[in-house]
Amino acid sequence: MTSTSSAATRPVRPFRGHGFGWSNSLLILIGLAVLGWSFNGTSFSLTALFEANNAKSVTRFVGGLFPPNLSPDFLGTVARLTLETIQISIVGTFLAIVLGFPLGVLALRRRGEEVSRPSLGTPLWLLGWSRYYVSRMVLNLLRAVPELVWALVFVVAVGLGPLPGVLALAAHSTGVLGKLYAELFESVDQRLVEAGRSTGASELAVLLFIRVPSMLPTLLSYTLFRWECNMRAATLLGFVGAGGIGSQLVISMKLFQYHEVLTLALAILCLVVLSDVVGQVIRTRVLDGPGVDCEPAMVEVERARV
Amino acid sequence: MIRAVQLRKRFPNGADALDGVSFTVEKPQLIAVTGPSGSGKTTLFRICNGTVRPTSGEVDVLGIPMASARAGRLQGIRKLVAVVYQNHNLVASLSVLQNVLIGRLGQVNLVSAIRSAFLPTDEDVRRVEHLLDELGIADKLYSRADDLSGGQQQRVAVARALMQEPELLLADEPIASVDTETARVILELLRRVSREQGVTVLVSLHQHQYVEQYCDRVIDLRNGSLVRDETLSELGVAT
Repeated sequence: MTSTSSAATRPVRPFRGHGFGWSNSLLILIGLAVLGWSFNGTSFSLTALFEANNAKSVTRFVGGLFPPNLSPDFLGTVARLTLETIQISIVGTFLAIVLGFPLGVLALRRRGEEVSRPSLGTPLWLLGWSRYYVSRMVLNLLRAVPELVWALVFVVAVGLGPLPGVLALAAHSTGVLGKLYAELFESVDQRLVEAGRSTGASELAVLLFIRVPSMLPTLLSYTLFRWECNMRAATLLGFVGAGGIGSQLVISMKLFQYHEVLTLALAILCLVVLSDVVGQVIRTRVLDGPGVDCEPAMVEVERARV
Repeated sequence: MIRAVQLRKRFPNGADALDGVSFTVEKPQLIAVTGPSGSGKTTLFRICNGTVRPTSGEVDVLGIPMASARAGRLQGIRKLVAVVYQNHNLVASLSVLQNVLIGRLGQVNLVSAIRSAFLPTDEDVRRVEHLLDELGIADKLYSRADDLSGGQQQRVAVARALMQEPELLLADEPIASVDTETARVILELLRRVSREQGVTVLVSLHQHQYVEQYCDRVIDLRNGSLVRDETLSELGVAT
C-alpha cells in the first residue's frame, strides 16, 4: 500500500529513450556521410605532399628559407612593418569596440514581464523589436564579410596603405564584438537585472551598473582575444595592399626571396606570441589577480596616516 | 498604501501561485508574510513591485494600479518600492559602496550615477557608511561584494534597499540564510525604519519567534490563498 502511494506521488520522468536510439545512429551516419562528401569534394590526399614533383618544390622552398635575411636594411624594414601591423590591429580593435558596444546594446534582447507587450504598449514594443532585428542584421552583415574582402573594398575606396587595413579590421570585428557583447549582456543573471530595475533605474543605468560590471572580466577577455585575432589578420591584409607586414611577405614570395620570407615568418611568430603574452598578462591581472582593489587611493593615504 | 483585491496569478505551466488574495495596508507597519515554500509569497512581492503582472484581480501600490500600469509608470513607482532579495542579487565585482549606491539609480540622472560610481561625493560615502554602520558592517565599505560572507552580503542588500529611501519595502526572506545575530540586526533595522521613518515593510519569514517579536501584523499564505490576516495584538502578542 505504502509503495503504491509513493509511486503515485513520484514525478514521472518524460521518456527520452535509453542509450543509442535509432535517431542518434542515423545522425551519426549522416555526419559520417557529410565528412566523406567533404573529403571527396576537396580532393584530399596526404600522399600528394610526397609525390616526386611536389617533394622537389617543397625541398627547394625549405632550402631557400635558410639562412634568414638578417641584413640591417631588411631588419629595419621588417621592424617598421611589424610596428605598422601592431598599430593596424590596435586601431582596428579600438574602432570595433567603439562601434561594437552601442550596436551590441541595441542588439540586446531584454527579458522579463516588464518589457512585454502589455507593459510597454504596442508602439514601444514594436520599436524594441525593430531595434533588435535591425542591429542584429547590421552585425550579421559586418561579420559575414571576412577581413580580407573588407580590405579589398576599402583599398578601392581609400587607396593602398594601412588605412584600408584598419577599416577592414574595424568593420569585421565590429560585427564579431557587437554580437559577443549583446550575448554577454543577455546572459547576465536575470535576478541581478531585476534587482537593478526594481530601484526604478532606466534600462541604460541597468546596463552600465549591472550588466557591464557583471560581465566585465568576460568582456575584457573576449575583446583581448579579438585583438589577438586582429593581430594575426593584420599580417595577411598586406596581401591585398592594406598595409602591414603582409605587403612585404607577398613581395618576397613573388620574387622567390625565401630567406626574407623566413625572417618575416619569424617576425609574425613574434607578433602572435607578443599578443598572446600581453593578453595573458592582462587577463591574469583581471581574472586571477589577488582581487581587484576597489579601494580608492585616498583611503590608502588615510590608512598610512593613521 | 497597498490594496489587493482578488489577486490571482497563474503561470504558463498552469500552476496558480496566487488564488484570490485580498488585503489592504493603510498605515506604515512591519508586516510578516508567512507560509511554506511555494505558497505565493515571492509572487505577491513581485506583483507589488510590478515585476510580474497578475492574471486577474487588482493591486494598487501607493495609489498606482500595478496590473494595468505601463513601463514608464512602473519605473516611477519602483523608485518608491525597494526590494530585498533572498539571494542578495549584488554585483559581485563591485565594491560594497558601489552596490549600495545602486539603490539610488532610480533617483539620480545617469551622469550623476556614473560620477557617484567612480568618484562618490563625501555625502554619498557618509550616507552609505551610516547605513552600513547600522547594519554592523561599516568596515566593509570598500570590500568587493564577493569577498563578503552570505550574511554580510544580505546586510549590503538591505542597505541598498534603504539607500532608495522607499515608502514601501519588500523583503523576500531576508534572513533565510543568515545567522541568528544577523537576523536580529536586520529585523531590528526594518522595525526601526518602519516605526521611525514611516516605511511600510512586508517581510516574508518562516520563523514564528521573529514574527511575534518584531512584526505588527501577519499575513499567512497557503497554496496561493490567504488563510490568515491578523495584527499581532489580535493574536494576543505584545510587540
